[in-house]
Amino acid sequence: MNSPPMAADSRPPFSVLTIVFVAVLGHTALWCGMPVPKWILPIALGLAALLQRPRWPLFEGWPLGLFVLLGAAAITYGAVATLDRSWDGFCTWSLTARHLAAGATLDHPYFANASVYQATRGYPLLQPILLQQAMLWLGERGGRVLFPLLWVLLLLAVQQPLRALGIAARQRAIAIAGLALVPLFLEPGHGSAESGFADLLLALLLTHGAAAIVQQHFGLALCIAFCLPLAKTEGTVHATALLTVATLGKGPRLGAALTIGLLTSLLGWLPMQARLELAPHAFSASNLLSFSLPIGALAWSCAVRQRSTRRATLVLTGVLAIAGLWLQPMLASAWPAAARPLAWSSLGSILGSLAQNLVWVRKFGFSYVVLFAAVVWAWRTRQRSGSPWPTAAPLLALQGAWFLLIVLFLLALPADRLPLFQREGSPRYLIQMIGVLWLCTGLLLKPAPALSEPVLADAPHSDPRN
Amino acid sequence: MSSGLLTLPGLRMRVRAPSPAATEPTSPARWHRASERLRRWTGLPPLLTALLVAHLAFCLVRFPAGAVAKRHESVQEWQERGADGWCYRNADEETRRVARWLCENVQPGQIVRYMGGEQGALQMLAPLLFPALLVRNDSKQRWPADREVFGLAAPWLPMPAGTVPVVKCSLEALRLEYR
Repeated sequence: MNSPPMAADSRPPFSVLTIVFVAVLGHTALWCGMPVPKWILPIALGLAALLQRPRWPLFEGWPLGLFVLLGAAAITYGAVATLDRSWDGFCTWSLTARHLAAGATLDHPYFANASVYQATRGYPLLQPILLQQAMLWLGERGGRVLFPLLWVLLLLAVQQPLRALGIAARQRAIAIAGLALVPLFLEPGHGSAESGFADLLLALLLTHGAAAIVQQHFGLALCIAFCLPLAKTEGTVHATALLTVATLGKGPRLGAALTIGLLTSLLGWLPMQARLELAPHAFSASNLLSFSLPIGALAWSCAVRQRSTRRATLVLTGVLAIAGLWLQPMLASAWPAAARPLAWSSLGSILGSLAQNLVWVRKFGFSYVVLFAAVVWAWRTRQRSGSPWPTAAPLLALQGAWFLLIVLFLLALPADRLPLFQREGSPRYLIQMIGVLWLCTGLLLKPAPALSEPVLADAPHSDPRN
Repeated sequence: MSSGLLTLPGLRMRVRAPSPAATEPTSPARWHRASERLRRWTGLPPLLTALLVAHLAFCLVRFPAGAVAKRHESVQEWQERGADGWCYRNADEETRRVARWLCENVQPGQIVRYMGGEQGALQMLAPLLFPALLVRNDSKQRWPADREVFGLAAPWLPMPAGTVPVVKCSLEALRLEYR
């Protein structure tokens, strides 16, 4: 059997449950017109402890443990010594957290008054709420210990599924060390762990989402799909990609769990986002589009999975894609708010800059090169019984889908903003998948059993008695 | 090091056994053996092992300079310059002066009026003046009623009667005007 074992523990990890409870209680408090109170964190921790026993993080072997400790110490020093030293963290995420920590409600002028300057209206509130909770207990600087904590949780999010899927300790240690050493998170700068950007939180959630797929963990899938839209604007797209890959690779039940989590989250978040954006109505056409996206993705992937409807669905998708590309310029001129013209002339430059990012060793080390080599190695043994290929393939599909979505996003950008996003945005979009990448690499590092064993056992002529 | 007794007819002498170094194969062979050991330890093919080693070694070598020294330098610089000096370290002298003066004089409950572009230099000012708020000068919506407008005159710019300071913002600079 190639299919991986079901998750041994049907409950999500303690850290994920805590994030979910903080998200639910924090957003509920804001909906009720209250400031987010500081007792939300202990309540969330208590509720999470009722459902899942917290475990002390243990890494594979003392050298790795020591390195994780050193890395966490370095990030902690950078995080708590000053406020954010990077633009996005300082001006958006952490500023919102500081307002929330000062007792702001949704009626505070920072959120509710259009004449008050706010750099990014309508940004999700999960990270600001988490940071605000930590700030209320540990102070404005001390609360920033959240960032090294998220970094350690990211490493654990890779370790746990690799252990559950029976990957050997050495391969696990290699994968976790590979992730821990990725310079973009470990070193200071834009997008680093301590920068205050939300990419680390998103990377953590996506890694758990990938773990939910490979372990077929319904509870974890539900929690992650719930948190993704609350973490970052592109979280809805990520969750939709997760549910599509999960349905295609593992079946409609896992896809349905992700869809339910995502829709529940959107139902609460989209009206709040409309309020933060000072939109006149809680539900608009774009909100309805956001709701229909996961439902459509689930229906499409179920139709593709079903043998009887597969060919018709794929042909229809191809026709619609070609028609969409052909009609797109007309749509863009008729309805500029919804559709922007795609700058096909920039495709070469976009692909070139993304390819350059994939091998940018100062940011990612050799992460993508290692993944590529591991894919080539595992591909050769994919037919053998016990090959890690079927388990890792959905994660490869997930990364491929995200790469294509980045290309599409960059194609739709206005020409004057494209260079900035190619330079600053692309590495940060790619780093969101770094936990998934090393989880996938860790799975592919599992040596496939030798070809001779099952053949010899099955073949009558190989019997020594013959 | 081991030694042995060599006995020949009429000759009896103690000789030293050849050192392990002398019997070691040449350097490429030694390298090959080490890589073979590593390959067996990882259980992976040579190219994949080499790439993994390259990734781990490259990032580990960077750790002292990248994760420790670079971080320490940026923290030191932030502490020396102050938050406003760090945020506007690439801006012109006048922008730094305006930002420093506002940080020193704006009170928490006040609002500071601004005009001009919202992209660029203005973005850093909002977190620097926290919990004071920046309010668009020509906004049609009412300003927060419970907050006092910041109205102090800058020492380097005389303020006409009946006006208040307004921060004029562009992509790269902040300027102070009275309106």
